[in-house]
Amino acid sequence: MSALRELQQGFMGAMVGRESPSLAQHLVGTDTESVWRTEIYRNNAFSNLQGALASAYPVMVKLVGSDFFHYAAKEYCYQHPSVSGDLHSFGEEFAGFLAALTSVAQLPYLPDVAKLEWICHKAYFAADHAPLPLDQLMLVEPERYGDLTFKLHPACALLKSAFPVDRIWAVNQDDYIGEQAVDLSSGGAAILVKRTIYRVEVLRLPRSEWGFLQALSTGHTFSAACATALQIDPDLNLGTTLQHWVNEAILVDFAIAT
Amino acid sequence: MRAKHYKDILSSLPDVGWFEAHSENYFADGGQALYYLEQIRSNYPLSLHGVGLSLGSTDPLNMAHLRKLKSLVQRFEPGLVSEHLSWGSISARYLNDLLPLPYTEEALSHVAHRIEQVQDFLGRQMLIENVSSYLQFKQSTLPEWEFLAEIAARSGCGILLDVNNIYVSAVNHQFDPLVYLRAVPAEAVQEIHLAGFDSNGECLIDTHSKPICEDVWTLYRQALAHVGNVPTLIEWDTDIPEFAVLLEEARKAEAMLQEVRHERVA
Repeated sequence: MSALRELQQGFMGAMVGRESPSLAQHLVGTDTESVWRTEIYRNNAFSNLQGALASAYPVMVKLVGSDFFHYAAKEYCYQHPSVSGDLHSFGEEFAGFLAALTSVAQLPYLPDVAKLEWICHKAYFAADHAPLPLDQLMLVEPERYGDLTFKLHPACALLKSAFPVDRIWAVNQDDYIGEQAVDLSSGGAAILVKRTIYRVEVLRLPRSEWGFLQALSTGHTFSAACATALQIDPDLNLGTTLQHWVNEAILVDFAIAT
Repeated sequence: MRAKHYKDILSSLPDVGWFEAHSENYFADGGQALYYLEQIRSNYPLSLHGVGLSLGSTDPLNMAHLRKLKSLVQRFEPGLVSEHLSWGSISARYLNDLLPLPYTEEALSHVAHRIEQVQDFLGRQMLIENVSSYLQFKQSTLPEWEFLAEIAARSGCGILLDVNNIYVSAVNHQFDPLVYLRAVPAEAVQEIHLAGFDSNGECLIDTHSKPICEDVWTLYRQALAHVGNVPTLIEWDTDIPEFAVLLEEARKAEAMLQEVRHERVA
């Protein structure tokens, strides 16, 4: 191995673990100096990663407080080291990490809040998409409607939780005004995250419509999606539902299944 | 340029020469960051400044990262594209920090070769910035200024001279910043960075969280005397102040640049 590679591996080893093997043999100065010099880099690296995590999970910071978040971020860094030069992609496993963290087991909604925040974070960076070409949809023969498949906007995502995490998210937004209390026993939520160019929005959907979009997002045909939705709510107006999600730019393209 | 300033910039179109953006902040596929960057680019020249390429690493170049950078470069046609003389990853693990290199012949040929690869891939020259450091490696056989000059000579890259980083490292490692400055090949310097630092009691730390100190302004004047009139950027991206505060610092740098311009004409 080259001397440079060996040095870099040794250096990394002193940065990422709970323990910090001494770099004294590589550094100019006394052993004591090498301890604090190494510590500066450990702190910098951790504070960059912690900052990235806090900016992806601002609601979580409020829910658990910055001291606990700091502790959780450190543990997370030990378990899930960064694998990208782009800090925005750091933190993907945070929900699963929280689910396994025994010290927050009494707050069982935290992992779903984290899932919601990660979806919102990803929505911010997702691709733009033109609205659905309505003129082309008009050309489809009515007897083929059942075979239509739809593409959802790249920045939207669906999430279902046993907790009202949409409410938890909403009351913890900086610009939120209104009732702060969230009744955790008020039941779960079927959630759609969408984004315009400027803003990421979190919407609670009727379960029938959520089921409809979920079916379409997993590649099911319009007729299969309708069947799913009607099973949940036999009174759902499917024509209006379809039109609504096209108008909202959630359904942005279509194809005919063969 | 930071997200919190987009609206200020676009509503007032301040009289500044150009903007610099962190490349990785625009690695998105869509959304508001790219939307605003497009608006700003249609009014100003742009410089793209990367922090995550890990140029000095002995891992293979991260091609996914490089492809994103290239598509940004193609879309926004920046006047300058820069990265750091540092490393940040090994064995596919990232520290997302600007780690110092040992200044050895081996590192020199490795980094110069990597810069050539990146320049070939991007189809253009890039600038390399000197970083602040808080330690020195025993292995080093060259002073940093010789290493930097030689990197530029071998790879044909330009230099982004961070005057604050020279000052911080000079204090931390007790060398004369003017010796560093004089060794920098003036013709390679195409951009200057200024910033504020902090101290942890033992060492100066490059935090980009403070106004620029008097000693750094003095060194900046000396740098301008050496390299001439070069576009200068104030980096202030931690505890980010209001845009007006940044403009005030930028005006101060601009006034010094004007002095150099006049001295050169006179």
